[in-house]
Amino acid sequence: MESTDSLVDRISDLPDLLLTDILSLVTTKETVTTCVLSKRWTKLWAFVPVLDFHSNQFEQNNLWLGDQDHTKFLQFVKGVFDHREAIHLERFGLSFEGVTSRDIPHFIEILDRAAKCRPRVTSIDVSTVEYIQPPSSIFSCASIEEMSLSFDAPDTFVAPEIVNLPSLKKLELTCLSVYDNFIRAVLSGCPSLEELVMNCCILDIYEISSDTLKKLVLNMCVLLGEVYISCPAAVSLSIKHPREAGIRLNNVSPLARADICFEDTVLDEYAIGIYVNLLRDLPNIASLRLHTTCLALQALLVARVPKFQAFENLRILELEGFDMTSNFDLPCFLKQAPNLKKVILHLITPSEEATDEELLGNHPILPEYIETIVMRSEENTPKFSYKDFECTHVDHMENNN
Amino acid sequence: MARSSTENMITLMSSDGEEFMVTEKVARECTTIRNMLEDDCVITNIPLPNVTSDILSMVIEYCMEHVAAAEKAAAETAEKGSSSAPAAAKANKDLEEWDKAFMNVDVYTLCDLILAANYLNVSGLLDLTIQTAANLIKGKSPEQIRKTFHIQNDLSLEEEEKIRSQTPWAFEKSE
Repeated sequence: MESTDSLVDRISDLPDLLLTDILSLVTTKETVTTCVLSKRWTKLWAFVPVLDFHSNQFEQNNLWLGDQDHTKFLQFVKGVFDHREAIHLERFGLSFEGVTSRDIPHFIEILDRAAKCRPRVTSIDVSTVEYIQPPSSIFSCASIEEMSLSFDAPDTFVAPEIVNLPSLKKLELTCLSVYDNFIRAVLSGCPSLEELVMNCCILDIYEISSDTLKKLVLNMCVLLGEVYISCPAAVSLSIKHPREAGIRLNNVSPLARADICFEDTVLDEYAIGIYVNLLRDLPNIASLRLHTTCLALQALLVARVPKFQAFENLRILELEGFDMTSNFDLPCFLKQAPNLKKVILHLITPSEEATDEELLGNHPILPEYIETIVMRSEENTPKFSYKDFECTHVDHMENNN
Repeated sequence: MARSSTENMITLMSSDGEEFMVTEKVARECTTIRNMLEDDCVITNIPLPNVTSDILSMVIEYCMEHVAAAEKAAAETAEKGSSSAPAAAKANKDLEEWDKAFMNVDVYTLCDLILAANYLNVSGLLDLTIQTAANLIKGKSPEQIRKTFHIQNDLSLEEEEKIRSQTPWAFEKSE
């Protein structure tokens, strides 16, 4: 407040497009209330190219799921659709908590109306105890390039039979039950799909087969049966914490990058089997990141990997969580990767009594052809005097031994 | 790395006639200027009649900081063959902190920066300023928003009442 300038209304001088850009970044409820600010603002909200509805902004108090009165929220959404200008939507977001059976027809109407506004990005986030099938309009909307669907209870999502999203590039599914027919419908009905992300989904599917998919992420999914992955165009594959059954790789591009992560320290034999089999199927991978802190798995890898077909294409290997200070035999592991160029080791925090010599001595007796070794340790672990140590020639490391 | 002395310098002139000498690299952060330079590569003096000197100096400060951060990251990558993830994350966080401190301005200056970023087409600065303005609206009642931005309510009581009664769905009870 130093100058008188700061008391002048400057924001109202901004052109409409900049004001609607600003209003695109707040929720629709906040956008709409700007209509009473002054004459300048009465119509602006209607031109904002984003709709972002949150039912929880209209709740009086926390009622049990399925018991909420959404009248106000639904009136609001209807009012916005009835009064806004027919501007194509850059983004449509709906977060609807506690959808009751009474709400379902409204929920479907909202999505039908949203689809008519030709959204580019669509995100739908629902919590409910009812079975809900989102309308076909939203699954046949030609404008959608990115879609995220999130249900809080897997079985409440009822998949559509037909999917026809010609522009869809990225699909993110969270907490859904995904069946074979749905994944087939998605992969055949989305010819531009490049990125498929599934978080916490229950996968009752046989395969993920796509010629266009570049990136596949399976994060904390439950696999009810073995899933075959056949994505010849894939450049990136990330599998984190799969549960129950296995993943088999059928056909993955030689350029693919894989990121495989099991965070649990203790894994049962079955999970260990999944992991080992996955690695066995990865021989044509170019860049691999393995993350596990399970010592039993690490020991099994040392025993099994030498029997695998060689990782001929592997250029970059990143290991995280592996206990390099004990008996993990890295060189034996690396023998299987004759063309490896770069190794990145994330060192786990060492025990208090370990000396630098012990730690370093156990590291690298690495093949000479490896050009780069990068060691990383967690920050604030003073025990590592060679924190973030990087070496461009392996001889130097060997001389240190 | 020290800047080479042979690097092209460009003079930007603000609406109030003040001249700012910047490297071509910094000037190119403004897409509007980049386009001018590409159309006419011998141009060295660019008048910017829509931007005052105090706002222009802030835009230049922003561009210099971001060019320096990008150069630093590039130099590190070139030196070590790859960027180290923790170092890159820290650099990003530092730049975010810098942006945050940079946005500690009054709303009048903020709006001028939005206009300048839009005119000069500095996408990073436009995103930053637009987001900062949106954050000032978030969670506020109309009365609080008016107060924040010093918006004079030129609607008569009757007019405001009319808007509210025509759009009862937009307002929860009495606000």
